[in-house]
Amino acid sequence: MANKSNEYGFVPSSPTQARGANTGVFEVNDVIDLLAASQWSGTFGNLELIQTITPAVHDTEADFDTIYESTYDTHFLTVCNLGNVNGQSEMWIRFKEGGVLNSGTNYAYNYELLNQTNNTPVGSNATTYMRTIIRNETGSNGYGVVWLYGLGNSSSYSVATVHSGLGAQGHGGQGGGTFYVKSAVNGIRITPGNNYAFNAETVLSLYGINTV
Amino acid sequence: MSIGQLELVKSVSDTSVTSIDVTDAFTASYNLYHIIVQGHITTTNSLIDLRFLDSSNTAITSGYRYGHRLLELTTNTEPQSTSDTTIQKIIVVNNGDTFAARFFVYNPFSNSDYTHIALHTQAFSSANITNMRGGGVLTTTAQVKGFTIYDATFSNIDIDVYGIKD
Repeated sequence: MANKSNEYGFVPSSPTQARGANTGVFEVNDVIDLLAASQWSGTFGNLELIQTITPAVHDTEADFDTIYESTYDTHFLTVCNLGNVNGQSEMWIRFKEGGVLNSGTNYAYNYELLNQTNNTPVGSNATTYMRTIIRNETGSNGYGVVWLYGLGNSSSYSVATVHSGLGAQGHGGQGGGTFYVKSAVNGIRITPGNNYAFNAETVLSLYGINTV
Repeated sequence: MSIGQLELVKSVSDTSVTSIDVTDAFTASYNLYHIIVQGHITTTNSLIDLRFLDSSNTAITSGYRYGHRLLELTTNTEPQSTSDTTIQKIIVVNNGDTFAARFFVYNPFSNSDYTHIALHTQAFSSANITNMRGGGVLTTTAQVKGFTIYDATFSNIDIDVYGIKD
């Protein structure tokens, strides 16, 4: 969206339209437009929707290419009706630096799949994707949330925590992962896992928590 | 403010410290808090602990119970205690590097309820990936106004405390 400088607000004639430093008098419509342009402070702590992706059936990847990594310290990804057209699989996460996908051996993950009586720990310290415990099972889609920390921090690894509920028998899962490259991440790629293709129902929504 | 909204009530950052106090974070305005912690550690085998701060912002040193499930790559252990001077191992970093954590704290400002905490943390070093889930309780009903995180050398640590409006 175009910069809103001097397009919205009045009194003074050039109100400050900068995130975290709005001054002046604004109409409600001004506020709505400035929120959309990420130039309105609002109340700190809000979850702000960045983008929702509904992959087309047979798409093999869903890319969030604008994540406002310098605005948000923490991102929140919701996953609803995750499934694919191939078979049971766990959702993968990969990251982009400067718009380029990093598919190197720079990822680690671990999680536990929990059912009524057992847990199954799974993990890797060196692999080419962050595998999560959000997965579909036969005849049942997967659901979960991912918290993502420090994506825009070029001096930090990027870290994720994951919770899920899945399966007709009510299994749950908890885990997380790390992208262990100290660089600023500016994009997120979600795949159904195993190079499978999405079903027609998957809905992915990415949010940021505003602190500035 | 809108009901159910996360509202940022306190941000604290520091560098090159072995502990960090978050004082006057809890007030009568909220019963439930969502806390996000991010940082880096330079010490090896860091087992980071948490204590709550009383109404004078002094660390409370008794009355803690907790139970966690620590997953180090694919090996589980279950730190737990029914009587401790702190909540141990809220974050475990094997060989020093990046961690992130989320806590929920329940009823800290109440004078009639125990203060509970639920947590989920993730950390990574060159040695291992660790994942911790668990919870704990401070078994006194005295008012709690903050917390301290300690027992490691933090090259940097950033803490955001959000109140959830009910």
